[in-house]
Amino acid sequence: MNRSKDLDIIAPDDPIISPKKPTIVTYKPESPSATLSPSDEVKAEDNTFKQEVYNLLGHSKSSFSNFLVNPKVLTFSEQDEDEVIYLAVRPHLISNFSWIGLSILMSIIPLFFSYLNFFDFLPISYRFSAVFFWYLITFIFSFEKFLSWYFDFYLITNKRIVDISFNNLLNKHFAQTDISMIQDVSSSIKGIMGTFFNFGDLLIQTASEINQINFEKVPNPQKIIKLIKELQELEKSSQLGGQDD
Amino acid sequence: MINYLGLENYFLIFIKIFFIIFSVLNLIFSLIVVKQVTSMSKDINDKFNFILISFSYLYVILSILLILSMIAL
Repeated sequence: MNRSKDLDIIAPDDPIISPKKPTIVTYKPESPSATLSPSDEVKAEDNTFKQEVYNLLGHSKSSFSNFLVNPKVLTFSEQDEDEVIYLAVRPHLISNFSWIGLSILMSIIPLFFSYLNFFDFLPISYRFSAVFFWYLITFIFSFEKFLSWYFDFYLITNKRIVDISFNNLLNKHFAQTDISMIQDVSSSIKGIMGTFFNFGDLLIQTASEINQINFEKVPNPQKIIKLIKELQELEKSSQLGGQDD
Repeated sequence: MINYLGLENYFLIFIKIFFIIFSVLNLIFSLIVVKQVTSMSKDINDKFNFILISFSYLYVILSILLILSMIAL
């Protein structure tokens, strides 16, 4: 044991205690929100939740996907400025199977007739025009069906759940309900295709005037339910936070 | 023989009129499609909307070509 040299002050058996190094105290804010403006705070919260959504649902691969997680480009006309879309869902790709099959069949029909020499009594110019006309009809039939699928969106945002669909290009349907108004969510996966490709219907019952919103043939209904549940919890906690303030 | 050719002509004229009427209806429908696609694109803004609008205009052009080809028969 080292002994102290300053024997006048310290007793002989006391151990030498080296003076403590001065500690540098740095100021750390208690929470990141302490230095952020309210709008930045909201953005930060949204980004955190976006990451949670990614963790919950995974990433979408392309814009033609039927399950767009945190879509960057997609917006809708009724969207508020501070509204963030967490999930945009279209009906499952497999739901297009029937019209794609019909379009292929329609494309083959002229070849079938020419093979049977069915319209040989008509001049060649008439036959050409008829085939041209037929393919235009086939094209517009397919295009219309594609557009009906492409613009049929179910959106889950930080504020509400929105259902936008266009039937036969002529009718627009818009329904929405606030997250806080959701009462019950139920899903049903039916049939071989639904079970195999994991898509089904999702019924959202609400306390608002539109008492239910139906997501038809959407992929991964269980994941959507989880997201809605998370959003409801977030909504509840923010409401409680508001009451505390 | 002459009567038969006359009937054939009438038949072709009937088919031509039939084709022209349907081509005009098709053109009207194509214009509706353009209007609707444009309106849908305004409602839901996505990065592929431009391609869809282009397709709808292409359909109008093809419909006009169809009418011209029917008149030229």
